[in-house]
Amino acid sequence: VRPGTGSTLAICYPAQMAALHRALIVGEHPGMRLLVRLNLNDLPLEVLETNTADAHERVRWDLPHLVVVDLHPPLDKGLTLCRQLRWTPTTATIPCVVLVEGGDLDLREMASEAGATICLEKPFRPLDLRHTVQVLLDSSGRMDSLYNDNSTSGNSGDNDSPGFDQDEAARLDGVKLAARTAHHLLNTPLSLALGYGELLAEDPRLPDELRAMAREVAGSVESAATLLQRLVRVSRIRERDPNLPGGAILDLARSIQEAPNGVIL
Amino acid sequence: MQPADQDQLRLAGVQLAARTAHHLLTTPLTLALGYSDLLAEDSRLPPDLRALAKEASDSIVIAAAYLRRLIRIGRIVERDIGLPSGLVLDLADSALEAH
Repeated sequence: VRPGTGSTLAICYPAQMAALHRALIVGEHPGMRLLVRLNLNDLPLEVLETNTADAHERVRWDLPHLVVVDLHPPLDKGLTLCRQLRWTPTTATIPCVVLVEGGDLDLREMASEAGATICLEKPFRPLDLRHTVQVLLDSSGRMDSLYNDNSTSGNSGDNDSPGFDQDEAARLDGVKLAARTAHHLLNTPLSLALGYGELLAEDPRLPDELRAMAREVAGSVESAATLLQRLVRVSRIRERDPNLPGGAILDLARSIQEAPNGVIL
Repeated sequence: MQPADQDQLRLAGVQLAARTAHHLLTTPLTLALGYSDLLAEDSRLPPDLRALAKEASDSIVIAAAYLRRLIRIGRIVERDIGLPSGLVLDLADSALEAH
């Protein structure tokens, strides 16, 4: 209190009253957090972000209406956060969107079991993320799992095709190891590039000529991501182009086995 | 089969997949990088959009660098990063020059 100026009374409202809806983005990769934030900019949301280590404390303090977790190895912290959300009475009904590496059904199942309301595969389209967040916020309070079952991958590693022998099994094991590695390493940069490309392409300030370029960026990155996902699904070795300088490459179309009903084995 | 033979076959499989990834992804990544660089340098774009284009370009450069490292693999050294689908290659220790 300063004499002659009256007194000042500061009233602190609980954080959850400050905005209609609040989302917390959790992840280790600042670029991915920024991408999610930019994608949510059009929604009437207050968007907060934090790393995984501080996330549970932030959730308890800020009580967001929705949490977006970028699940990135090591997975235990992100999965633990999902479980903590579900086990804590004050946070148990907060919808949790988990961003997972595309094509890994095991990862999606782990996230779902840990308490993810919905899993989105990286790279994701900005519209998908926005729509998901909008739907979850519109139906807040609902905790039925909205797990988005997209059973297009799945690769047991078993191979009982004729002529499959130990040599091919060892080579196939190597192919899968490299494919897994490539997928793991490239998923984040491709997700970021696709996300930024899509954001650019959607911006109304872009002249048409430059919008076409932005669409080319997004389209090309999406094409690369799709090829990478197909590589992870290889379940037998069929080669093509033996005269390429480095040697033959995999014929993806013939190396991914499909059952008669169209399900990928 | 002897363990050494099995290792050689696994390595051949790794190199086959790496070659495939490099062959298939190089063209789309080159296109994406070229266009994102053009956008990042275009003065008609507001600074915030140029920054987005630069971020896209940087991400593509990182992806391309990983691809180049993948095709230099000369032996298999694995590491566990907690992926449920299995181990991944340790690129630093698996590269030809790490021998």
